[in-house]
Amino acid sequence: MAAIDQALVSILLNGLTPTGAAGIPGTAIGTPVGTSAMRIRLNSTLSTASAAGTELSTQTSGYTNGTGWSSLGQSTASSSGSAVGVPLTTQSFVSNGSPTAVVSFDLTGSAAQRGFWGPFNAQPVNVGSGNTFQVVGGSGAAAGIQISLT
Amino acid sequence: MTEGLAFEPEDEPVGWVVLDPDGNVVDSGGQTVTEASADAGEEN
Repeated sequence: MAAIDQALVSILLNGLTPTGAAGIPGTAIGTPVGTSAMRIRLNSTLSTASAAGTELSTQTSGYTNGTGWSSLGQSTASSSGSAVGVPLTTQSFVSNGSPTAVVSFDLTGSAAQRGFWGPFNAQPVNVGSGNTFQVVGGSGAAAGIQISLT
Repeated sequence: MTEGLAFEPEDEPVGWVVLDPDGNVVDSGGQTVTEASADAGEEN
């Protein structure tokens, strides 16, 4: 049984995901999450409910430690409790690892507050040196990461 | 009527891909679904 109003679900989801213009949080939850574009942090270990995993080091291209992926685009807003798909724009990096293991992600605000986190399907994803890891971008249900609140 | 396999895999949306330097897909995985529950903190 859901214990939260679906309209409130959407307010929370939109405030914690990049549904605003240019990928900023979609509603004014504000200070804790930040009001600049949200980011995806990639980790080589599992994130938990209390802490992010170990962030990837800076890669050959496309991923900088401490910054992550920061041009996610504006996700389609949640409506009537629907999931939010992230990212709108496909994100990628070229590995410098041997290999680089990608295990989990954290969706964070510009103020570094985590919103949602999760392990990648079939993790760990071992990305050999010179190979490219991509998270598929798209609108709504087509995006590689689906975030919901029930 | 066309007979189908008994255990046809479902068409799962792709969530991530790994490409080699020539752009060929060498690995892929399904969407990551992150679902938070408002009931998570409730005591039984």
